[in-house]
This record gives sequence, C-alpha cells and structure tokens, in this order.
Amino acid sequence: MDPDRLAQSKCLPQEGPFTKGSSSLPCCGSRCSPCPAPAVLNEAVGAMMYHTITLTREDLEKFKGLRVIIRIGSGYDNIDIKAAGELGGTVHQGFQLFTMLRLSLLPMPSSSCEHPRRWVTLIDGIAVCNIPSAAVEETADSTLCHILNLYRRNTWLYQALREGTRVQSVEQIREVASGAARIRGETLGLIGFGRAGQAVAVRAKVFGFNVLFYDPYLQDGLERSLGVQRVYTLQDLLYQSDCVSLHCNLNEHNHHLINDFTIKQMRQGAFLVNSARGGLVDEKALAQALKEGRIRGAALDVHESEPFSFAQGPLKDAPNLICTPHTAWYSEQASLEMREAAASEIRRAITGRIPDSLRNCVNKEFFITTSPWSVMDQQVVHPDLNGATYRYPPGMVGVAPGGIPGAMEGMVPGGVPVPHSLPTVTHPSQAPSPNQPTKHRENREHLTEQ
Amino acid sequence: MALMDKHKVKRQRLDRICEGIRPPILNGPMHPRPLVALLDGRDCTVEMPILKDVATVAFCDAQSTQEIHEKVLNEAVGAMMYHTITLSRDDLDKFKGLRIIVRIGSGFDNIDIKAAAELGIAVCNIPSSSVEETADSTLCHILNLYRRVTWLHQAMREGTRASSVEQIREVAGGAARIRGETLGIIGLGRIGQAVALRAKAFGFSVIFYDPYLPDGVERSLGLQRMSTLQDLLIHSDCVSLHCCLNEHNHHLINDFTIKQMRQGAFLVNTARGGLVDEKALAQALKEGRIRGAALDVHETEPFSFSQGALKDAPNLICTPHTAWYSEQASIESREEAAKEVRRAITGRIPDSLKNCVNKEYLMAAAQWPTMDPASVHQELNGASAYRFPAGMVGVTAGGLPAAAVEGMVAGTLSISHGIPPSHAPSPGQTVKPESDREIPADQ
Repeated sequence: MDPDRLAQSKCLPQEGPFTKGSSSLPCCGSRCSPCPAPAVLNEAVGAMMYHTITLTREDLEKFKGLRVIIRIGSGYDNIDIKAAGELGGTVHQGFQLFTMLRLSLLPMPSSSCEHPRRWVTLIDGIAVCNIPSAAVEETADSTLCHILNLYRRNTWLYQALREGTRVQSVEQIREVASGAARIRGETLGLIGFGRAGQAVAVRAKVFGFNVLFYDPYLQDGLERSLGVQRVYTLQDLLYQSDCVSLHCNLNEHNHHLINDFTIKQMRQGAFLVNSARGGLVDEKALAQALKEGRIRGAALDVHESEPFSFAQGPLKDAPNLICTPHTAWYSEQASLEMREAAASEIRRAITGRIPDSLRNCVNKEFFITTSPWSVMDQQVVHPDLNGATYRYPPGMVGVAPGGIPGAMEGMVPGGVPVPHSLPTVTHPSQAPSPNQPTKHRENREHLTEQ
Repeated sequence: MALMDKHKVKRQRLDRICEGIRPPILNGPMHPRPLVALLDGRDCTVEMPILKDVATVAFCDAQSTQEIHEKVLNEAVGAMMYHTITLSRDDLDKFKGLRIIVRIGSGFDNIDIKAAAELGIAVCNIPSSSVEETADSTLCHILNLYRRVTWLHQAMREGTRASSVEQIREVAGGAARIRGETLGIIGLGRIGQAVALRAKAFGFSVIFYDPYLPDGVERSLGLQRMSTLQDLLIHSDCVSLHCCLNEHNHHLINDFTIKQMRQGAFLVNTARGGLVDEKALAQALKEGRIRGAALDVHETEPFSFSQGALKDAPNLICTPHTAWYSEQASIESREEAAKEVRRAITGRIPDSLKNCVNKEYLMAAAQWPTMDPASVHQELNGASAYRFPAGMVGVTAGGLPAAAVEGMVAGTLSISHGIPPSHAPSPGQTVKPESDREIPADQ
C-alpha cells in the first residue's frame, strides 16, 4: 500500500481528494468544526491534523468510522481525547465491518464468494496520537530567543531603529536600552518540565540563569539529572522567579493558570514567556499587569485566540509585548519530520493493532476494554451479512459501481490480526435496507437486535 | 656665516624635537587636585564619589575635540571616554597635560594608542564589565536570525495574520534547525569564548579563527580551531565577529571574503563596524548570498535604516550599539574606570594601572638611547633648551628648578638602562627614582 496515497486519502480536505474545487472547504483551517464534507465524516478511518482545528465530543461523533487521529505536533488539547477513547466502545457481533477507501488498491481475492471468514469487530474508541519529539529543540531555541529578547531587548531596539530613533551618545544608548538586564544570577522558573522544558533548562544554565521548575506530574530525581532545582508548588515558583516560562500541556486543570491571582504572586517586574498554549494565560490579566508594570515584559508565541493580531483582543494596547504567530515549533526539518512521523503512525495504525502498534498514543487509558474476539463461525453471522447484500455505493473513490464483489468485505489489509479489524466505512447515500445493518456508529447498538 | 647657519639648523631641529615629543615624564609633578574630564558624556554621578577627594571632575559632552573647552585641553591630567569620540594623533596633541586616558569599555580603536604613548599618555580600558552582556546579545542576534522572532514580531506589528499551518510555514519561512549548524567565531577573546560556550548548548558546532592566540586554547574549551580566515568562512553557516578593530583588519568582511562564505550564511557583528564593508554586505544581502545579517555596530554611528550603504538591504537586524549595556555593566565599568584614574593619580604610571593597553609603546617611547653627557649638545643640558610649556598643569613657567626636573625619572625606568629624563643629568648629579610627588632631596 502506497503510504503517500494512504496519507492523502486520510487527510482532511485541505490535502485530500475531498477538497471541493481547488481550495479547502470554508470551515477547514478554522477551529470551530470539522469539514462537513460527508465523505470524510462518514468514511475516514484515520485523520491527521494540526492545531488549527478543534475536535470536541460533538465533532468526533460526526465521524462514522474514525479509528485513529494523529496530531501532527505535540499538543493535543484541541482534541477531546477522553471522548475519542469512549466513542463506540460497544462490542458488535457478527459484523464484518471492514472497508477501506481506495479499495481499488487492494488486491482482490480470486474466489470471493467462498471466502469463509467473517470478522467480528470491536468498536474500540478512536486512538489519538501525537508526534512529541520533532520540534523539541526548535521550541526550546525559540523560547530562549524570546527570553533573550526580553533581557537584551533586541527586538524592541530594532523596532525603535526602524521607527527612526537616533541613538548618538552613551546616555542615549542607556535610555533606549533601558531595562536591558544582566542575566547571570537571574532565576528562570519553568512550569512544566517535559521535553521542551528540559531543553530550555539546559540552554538557560549556560547563560548563568539559576533554573528551577514546577511539574506536579514528574517523578523524583530529574532535577538531579540536570542540576536544576525543583519546587513543589506553583506559588513557590512564582515567588522565586525573575522570568517565568510555560512548558506544560493545556488540560482541564490548568486553563488560565496565569491569571490575576497568580500574577500577583510573581515578582514585581518579572518577565513572562509562553510558547506552550494560549489558554494557560488570562490575557486580560496579563494586559493589566503589563500596563501597571507588574510584569516588565511578556513574549508570547501562542494566544487565547489565534491567529493573533496586535490590533484586537485584550492585549491590544499592552506595552512591552513581543508576539510571534505560533511559529516556535517551525523549521523546515521539523515540519518534514513530524509529517513523516505522523504518516508512519497512521501506517502502523492501519497495518498493526490499535493501540498496541502505536508509538505515541495519548489516550490509551480511555479505551473501553473489550476482550478480543476471534473468528466466529458463520452461524453467528446474520445471513444478510454474508457478503451478498453489501454494496459499495456508486461514486465511491476508486471503486467502480458494483464492481467489487462482495468478497471484498472479507478483505483485511496487510497484517491486521483478527481481533482488531477496522470497522466498516459506510456511505451516506446508501440507506440501509431494513434487514441490513446500519453502518452509522450511533446506531450500532441496534444491530444486534436485527 | 656658515657656522651661524649650522647653529640655526641645529636649533630648528632641536625645536622640532622638543615640540614634537612630549617628554615622557610619566610620573612628573602633578597638581594636588588634577583635572579629570569625561570627554563624550555628561553623567559623572558614578565616578564622582570615587574621584572627588583626589581630583576635580568635569564633563565635556563632546563629539570631537573641537568641542572640548580650552581649559580642559590645557589642564586635564586624566580623561575618561566612551566610543563616541575619536582621539587621533592630532587630537591628542591638543591636550597639554594629559597623562592618562581611560576608555570606559573594552574597545580602544578610537584612540591612537601609539601616538598617546609617544606623548607620554597611558591608555587603559575596562575589558571585563560587559563580557557576558555582549555574549548574551550576540546569542540573541544569532537566535533571531535562526528563529526569526524579531522579523515575525515585526510582521505581526504590520498586521500579518497566520491562520493555517501553511501560512505559518510561509511567514516563518527560513527558520532553521540549529543542531548541526556550524558557528564560526572570528576572534576568541573573552567575549568570543563566552559566545562559544553558549552556542554549544544549542547544538552548534563551534569553530574559531584567532591568529593571536597561542596553541591549546581550543583544547581548553573543546572547540575546533581554523588556521586561516578562509577556512573558517568556508566551513561556517553563521559567522560572528569578536575581534578588536586595528590597522590590519579594517573591512575584514569585504566583497572577496564574503564570496568565501557559504551560500546563504548568516553574519553577526557585535564587535566594530569597521570590520565589515557595508556596501559589500548590502550587495550580498540583496543577492541572497548572505541570508541574513544582525549588526549591533556600524561603519558610521549612529546608524539609521534610512541612510547609508545598508539602506535598502533586506534581511537585516540592527541595534544601536547596545549589546554591551545593562545597568549593572554600565555602573561596573564606570566604577572601574574611575578607580583606574584614581590609581593613575595616586600611584605610578604605568605600574599602578590594571589595564594599560599601550604599556610597551610607553616604555619604548620613554626609552632614549644611552647618552654620554659629553656627547650631549650643551644646549640640551637642561638649562636653556627645555622649558615646560607654560600652562602645563600645576607648573608655572620656570617655577620648578631645572635641577629638580632633571632629577625626575620616568616611573619604572631603571637607572641602569641609563635612560635619562629629557635632559641629561648634569654631570655629578645623582639621579634617583622617586615617587610622583617628591621633590628630590638634592634640591
């Protein structure tokens, strides 16, 4: 199976064959709802996505056959991974549910009707995976760049020069660069000490920062490995830090972690850096603190609502602000690496087991556990399911109408072991006949009654 | 007639000698509260507490010696200065009594230290206060080139919106991974070393070129040394300048050397503007041979984006000579400078000085060939030929007995070298070294 074609068929409409016209569908690329292209919602087995679209429980329910979502990047707060894990979760008996897009690519069996096997599907939840490692150093380098721009003021000085400021004497230099501070001896506090946080710590130490971190999820000992100090409450970190940098995921517990109350626990004139998630910072409170000088400067790569604009939002008139448009992760190599890694993960999903074959599945614990079913003998299978009645809808990609014998149903790609065969993908235009099991997810519970 | 002519010629020669060479009497008599002037600034608040009991402190706030008050030119014994004023040989000649110049900062290319030494003026700098600030600013420039934060912020200020990932890739196009890139450091002094250590933490592979360093420094820090500038330029993805400006390396980065750089390399300069030929750089930026440049220093300062050779150059980040600055560094360097002036006033020049940069020129200038008194022209025998010029600080015309002056010996010059003061000791007079203020006992 050609991985490129595979990935293409699984992509959201921006990249795949379901794009209407030449450009992406209107709602794609936004954060509100997934593309309503019916083909994708009904048939996609795998999805790949960035950070610019959100998948809530309702959004996930629109997908009829989704089994795996790959987030091409490290943060997955824009996906309700709990809901994803729980969707489906019902065992269906007597169901051969497996179909694939682009079935013309699959080898056809020679004598389909005699194909004896029927798979039973477990509708496990949707596995959500991320790609945590491709942009770690880029993010850390960008974070250090932000920190240095706050301490050495290069970005603001450049801006002043662009605006025509003339700096002649040393007194004028001192004035225009006022606020530039010596780094050695300053304390950098990292909230979240994962991959990016650790990379930042290692770099910051060499500048003479005294580095400490707060991470309630981490085991003991990592502070010894890297020679940094650990604190056990957020308040401790905020009290002791001259510069605070966020490196944690966004989850249901830490929205607006940096808010009016916690900002007041920071040092007078501290710096704030955020290259993690915009939702961690209450921008109204931050704007107020910047205007009052309680925070001396802030550098943000991520914002509560993106795309960010200096002309809108609560940070509109805030002084001493450096913003970049969610670019901390980007380098050409990182981008290529994470896309390749995502495609490889999809490939593992398709050719292996979910979630066992997946390298970076983030919602394994939410999967409803079901015992694997082996091949069942035919009595259990509804006669109508015996290959005969299922027809691929006309117009389905790559499949000529009526061109595929029923035996396709028995087709299993590559090496999928029996217990975890992927469910079928239905086409909306095919109304199930009364005896035919409906293929829509939400109705699957009824199938056993038929 | 011919004899008269000969004497006249000799006289003229003597006059030329005497007016061209300030006698290198480095530790001669000094006014009890000599005048110390800050040449190119107005704020002396940090220096005052350290100097006020031994000197009178004044400021000139001048951009050239033309703007310096005559009183200062005539009377100043000590001068403090930044990088915004130049002291050439002619400028130095205007000062009548200067003995010590302290450059409040590390670079002293704006002072002709050799001419100063010939005039008996010691020049000092303050090399250590801003080392880490400059290194941090250099890394900030390098990161701004690789991660493009400054340009992205600028784009956002101008209203650019990046909604989709494709737009992110486009607006951040050129942002590169650092690990595996090679940083080439030209000049591995204090700042170069600090930059090298910081860059290593980001995954840069660091190489350097420094023709003045002895063998082995590369082993201390675990860096790779290049033996020629060309080697460094060929192997670097990002070149950073950290050398002093001197008579040998003006326009070190020029059209020819830029062509030795890698296609699409970065250039960073926080050292001196004169090292880079801005016309060649502008051309290279326009053609993309240099992918981006970050400059804290420029050929003419103050720098302006709307003037000069770099006017329309793309992919340029500039800051107005601020890489050195932090409040602490500023205060530290000013305190150190004031202390150096104090040491000069209350101690010996150049022995008491911590960071004298023209010591060897001072010694050489003060070194006169051993003179047999008999061979000295009688007119040079102190009495008639030499007078301290009127207006020299603290010494009224003819006020000091010639003998006493003759007894004056420059600082550390040992007698055994037979180095006389400007006038040969009269026969029979013992010459002994003495501290600055003492009048010789045989007066």
